[in-house]
Amino acid sequence: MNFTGLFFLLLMQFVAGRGILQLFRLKLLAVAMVCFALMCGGCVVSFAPFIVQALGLPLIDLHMYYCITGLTALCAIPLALQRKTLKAPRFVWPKLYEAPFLVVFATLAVVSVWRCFYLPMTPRDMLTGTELIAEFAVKEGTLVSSIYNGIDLRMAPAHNIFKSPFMTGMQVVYKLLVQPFGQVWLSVYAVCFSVWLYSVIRERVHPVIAGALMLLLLCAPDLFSYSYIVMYDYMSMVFFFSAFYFLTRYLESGRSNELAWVSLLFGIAMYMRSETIIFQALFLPALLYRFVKDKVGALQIILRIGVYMVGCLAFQYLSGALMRAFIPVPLSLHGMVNTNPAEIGIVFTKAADIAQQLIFWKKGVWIFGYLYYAFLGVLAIDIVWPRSFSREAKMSLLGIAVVYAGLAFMCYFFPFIVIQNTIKRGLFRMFPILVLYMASSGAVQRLSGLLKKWEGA
Amino acid sequence: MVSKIKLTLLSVVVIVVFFNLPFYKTWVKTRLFSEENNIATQLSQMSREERMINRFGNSYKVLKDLTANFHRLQTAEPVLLLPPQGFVNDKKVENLLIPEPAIFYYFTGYKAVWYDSPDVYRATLALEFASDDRIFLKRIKSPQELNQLLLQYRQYKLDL
Repeated sequence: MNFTGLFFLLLMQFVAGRGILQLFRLKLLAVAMVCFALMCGGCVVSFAPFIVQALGLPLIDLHMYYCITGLTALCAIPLALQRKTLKAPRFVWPKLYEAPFLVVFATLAVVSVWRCFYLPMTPRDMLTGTELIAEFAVKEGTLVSSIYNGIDLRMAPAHNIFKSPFMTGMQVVYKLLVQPFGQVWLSVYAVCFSVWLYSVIRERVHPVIAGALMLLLLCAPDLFSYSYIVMYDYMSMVFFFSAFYFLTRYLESGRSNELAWVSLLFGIAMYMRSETIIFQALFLPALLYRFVKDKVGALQIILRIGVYMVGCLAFQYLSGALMRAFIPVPLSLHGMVNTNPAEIGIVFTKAADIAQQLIFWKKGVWIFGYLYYAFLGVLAIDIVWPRSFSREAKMSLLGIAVVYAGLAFMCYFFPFIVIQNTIKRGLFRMFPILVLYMASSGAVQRLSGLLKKWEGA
Repeated sequence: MVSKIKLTLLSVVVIVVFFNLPFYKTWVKTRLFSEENNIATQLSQMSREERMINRFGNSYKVLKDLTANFHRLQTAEPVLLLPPQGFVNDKKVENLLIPEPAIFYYFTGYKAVWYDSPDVYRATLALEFASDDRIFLKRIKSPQELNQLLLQYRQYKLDL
């Protein structure tokens, strides 16, 4: 393990990400600022291998150091230009009674980070795609390596080589600069996302309730496993939920910088998994409803929808361009896309299958823990009493519905999708929204109020 | 301060109750702190190869051992004809999972083919399974020999 390389990357990710955040002029608390800086900076770093290769240079550690430093300097320009207006963000110290939860979270983090570091990559999707490309790119110093020459390795039919250039980029960088299995970048995302989400929940409810809700999420068995096993879905969840959260904020504030930020986050989620566009499009009615309610002019609506979608479209184009440039195998979608669009009934059949074969499946608890049961319990209580749904609770319910419908639509567009694999992991997108709903639910809010009152008394 | 201490105790109670719920109790025991992922044991096996064997088990070790002898064969391009898993199972070979060609290349750095590959006729090596559980590398000497192997292998489905 090269700790110097890891420190360099964390520093560069932070500075690059901080520069991007400055560009959007977001008002965030210190925890959110640090977490998003590291997460966005990672996306910047992931481009380094492609840039080095495009410059005709071999993929070696020295070239990575130069390229990442250059990219970071470029992203730090907004910081330099606005240095006089920079203020230290507010930091909220944890309270004594959060300590037991923080100890448990830290234990979970240690186990996850250790396994991410220690174990090599295992999923077939990775070994026949991203990891295979990255391993031989590092060995041979080029992304167009021997895996494409001579004997056919049957990679094209599996389609895994055509997935997320982000993962390929991160694997190459972390293999060259940190450790032979790469991978530890996932821990950076898992820790940052969990810390930020805890801070979000903690803002809404009493920290004891926030701790209990986070326990439900972090101990969801499959989600915990994918915090150290590299796959596309965990990362997609991170950026999808972030985009959803800021979309909720935008719908309240109407600030254009937040809309642009939402667009970028959806774009990055798209950079992880291309079907994100389905979910993003399903949020359009909520946006339109808001615009119509606010009596926004037709031209403004078109402009704002354009801003909302541009991130996703730009990243889709970028992913396609990177694949065309660095994967010398043609992509064939033959047999993968639904050729009979009239069969819309599939959407309903698959929606029923998702509920039956996953959410209410007897063994579903080994995937989700008691997360769904807790959510359904809280929802049932909310419906009976107090029957008051805040705007955020309503938005969370919409988010849950969008993920559910989006997954059913995925099965419609791509009939080869297996519910027990792709959809199971696709449901990760819903998990943090379930927790956000519980945090903003009327019943939990009242309980939280009681605790706060008792604490203050 | 008293309320804060009481809340700290409440946090502890919540955590204890949570991890004593039947499912989470089992999960912690069998998955979170499972025997196969014992950090103390893993700390004593830190080389790349040890970590690969820990994760991929016997199959990885067998394939690495077999391909370590490839250079002795003096074949211009050693290409292994991978047997289908069903064939290996019928030979009563235990604890050996045959990977697909891409994963074989990832493990060993050597190319391999399945019987349905367009490049199958470039295969120069095959695996031979002795009755005492030993596995050998066998050079494919003629197209007839290759065809005989293919005839045997084609009786089995290729599973991922």
